[in-house]
Amino acid sequence: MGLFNFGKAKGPAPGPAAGPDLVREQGQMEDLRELVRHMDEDRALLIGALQKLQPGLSPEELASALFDLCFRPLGLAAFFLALADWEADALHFPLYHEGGRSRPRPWRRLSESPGLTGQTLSQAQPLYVRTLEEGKAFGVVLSEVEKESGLVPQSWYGVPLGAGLAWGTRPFGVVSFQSFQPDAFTGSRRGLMQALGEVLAFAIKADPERPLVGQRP
Amino acid sequence: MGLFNFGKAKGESPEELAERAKRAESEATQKAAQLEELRELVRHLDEDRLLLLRAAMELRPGMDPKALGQALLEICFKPLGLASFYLALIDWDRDRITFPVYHEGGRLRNQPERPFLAEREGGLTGKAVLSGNPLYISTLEEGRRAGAIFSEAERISGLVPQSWYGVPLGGERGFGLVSFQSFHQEAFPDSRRRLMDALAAIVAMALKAAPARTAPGG
Repeated sequence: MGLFNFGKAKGPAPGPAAGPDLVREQGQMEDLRELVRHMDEDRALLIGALQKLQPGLSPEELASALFDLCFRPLGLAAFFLALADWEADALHFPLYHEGGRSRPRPWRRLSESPGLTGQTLSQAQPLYVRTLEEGKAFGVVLSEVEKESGLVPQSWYGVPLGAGLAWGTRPFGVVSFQSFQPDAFTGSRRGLMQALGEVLAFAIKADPERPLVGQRP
Repeated sequence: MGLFNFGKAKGESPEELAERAKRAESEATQKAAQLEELRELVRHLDEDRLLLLRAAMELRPGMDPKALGQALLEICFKPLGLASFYLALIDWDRDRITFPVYHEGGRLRNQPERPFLAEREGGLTGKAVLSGNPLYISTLEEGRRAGAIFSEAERISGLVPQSWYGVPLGGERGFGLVSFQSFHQEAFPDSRRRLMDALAAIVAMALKAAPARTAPGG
């Protein structure tokens, strides 16, 4: 070992050389703290949803409970629950929150103006629209408030409720999460929203009086 | 500035420099430990998050209790480090308890149905179901005092879980219970038990989901 390597052989250079390492670790630490905050929030949201969304509540009450839980933590601009009445060709909105408050939104014919909600229902898969332009290409139906104010969310994520063979042939509704930011919802956030949608679907369709299949041998 | 302070003004003495290096090293070690703790926390939270996401996505309506119990077992057994796990269902009219899924000693076993209340008030399962609240037993001794009923395999092998957490399904006088067990004492901290509550809630909703049902008030 050469004389000039002495410092290196003993370990990292003392004093000033420790500075950049500390700064880098401090940065990593801050990133990790941010990640912990996000994950803790996700975990709390899912656990909160399972505590608050109880079978027997009306769809409006259930959607309100979910709205209260997730609106702020997810940084949403708008949120709604739509229920499809396939027989009557109608789309109803038990809860429609935009422009800072819940507003009554009239039902509409699914076949006449399906919009993004209709797309989500017909595809029976979550639909993610990243920008308003992309939304227009998908045939977005703007609300009266959106038309008047010009304040239209850029990101739109719709989760079909009751999608999959176990549920039946067609989904029975959509829960939509929206943000003013373009491309606001990362893959992991969309996974969380999908899980929240599943919990909402279970709660809407859970029947406390239902006898259990296979309970008796 | 005096002539004799010249060295100090230009920088630190070797002793001071060494002292500062020592402090920096100690601070770096401390930060590295904090970083590792945070990484561990991220791993735990990510695991919890994945468990909840998987349970919400994979437990489907229409699955029978056995299939649901097995799906949850598959999702949570390894990540939660469990020793045993079961899903019990109560038939109040017949005073019977059945076990669609009963996993212990490394495999699924057929646990025969038995009277529920007539037999020592149903053990820990009965206690939790009757109260409608989750029950946490953190040691074997505590379990014995609380009236634990041991299975044949437990009696024969002597391998009995120390920690037992049971979450009733469906509130007071509910329709069943999910039990999570570990060989370690005090294995389930509060945050883990909240996660288990949530997993059991998903099972309860999946068991009671009726896809063809018209939503109340809808």
